[in-house]
Amino acid sequence: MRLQPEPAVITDLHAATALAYVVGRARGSDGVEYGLEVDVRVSEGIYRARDGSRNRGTFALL
Amino acid sequence: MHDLNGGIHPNGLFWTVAVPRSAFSLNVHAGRARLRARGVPLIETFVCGGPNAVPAVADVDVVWDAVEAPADRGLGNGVPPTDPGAFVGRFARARAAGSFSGTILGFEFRSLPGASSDPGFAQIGTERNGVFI
Repeated sequence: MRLQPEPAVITDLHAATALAYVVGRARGSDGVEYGLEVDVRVSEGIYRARDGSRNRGTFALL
Repeated sequence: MHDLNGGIHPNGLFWTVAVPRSAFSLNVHAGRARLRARGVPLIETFVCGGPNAVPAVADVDVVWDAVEAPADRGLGNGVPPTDPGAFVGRFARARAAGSFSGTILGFEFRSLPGASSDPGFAQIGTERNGVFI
């Protein structure tokens, strides 16, 4: 079966999208180094709102 | 551990926040995308005597570069609307790298160089779902 990763979590959407699961390290203001894991997704395009109207927007999932 | 996210809206939409349209660009032909957003309003959730949420702010700058040719994905109307494959898309697997920083109350963090999708996964493309299939 093919992998079917849909990046958007918004329904009724027609958009340009990008998805990344990023891994790295980060340093906090407490001087401690932390592991960093980020699920970042972004969609820019047309969506249908709950009132039925069609709108353009850009949404990020973080 | 710190866990920042966009929260869960009353309608069930989770972790998602609106950002300025200028924050994201995608050039399908060049196989490159970029998200550059500053001051994204998030929350940090944690459990301490019960569930808690405090406001947080994040800066994100991520660049995606396609590493493969795009391919069709999704099963469209061939599956029920609740099926994870109920969309049509054309995605290219990509490599993403970038920087992240955030502020939670008096605490700040900043990613170190080298954060990337190499151990993870990334893709860019276009998609349609719901009434747009």
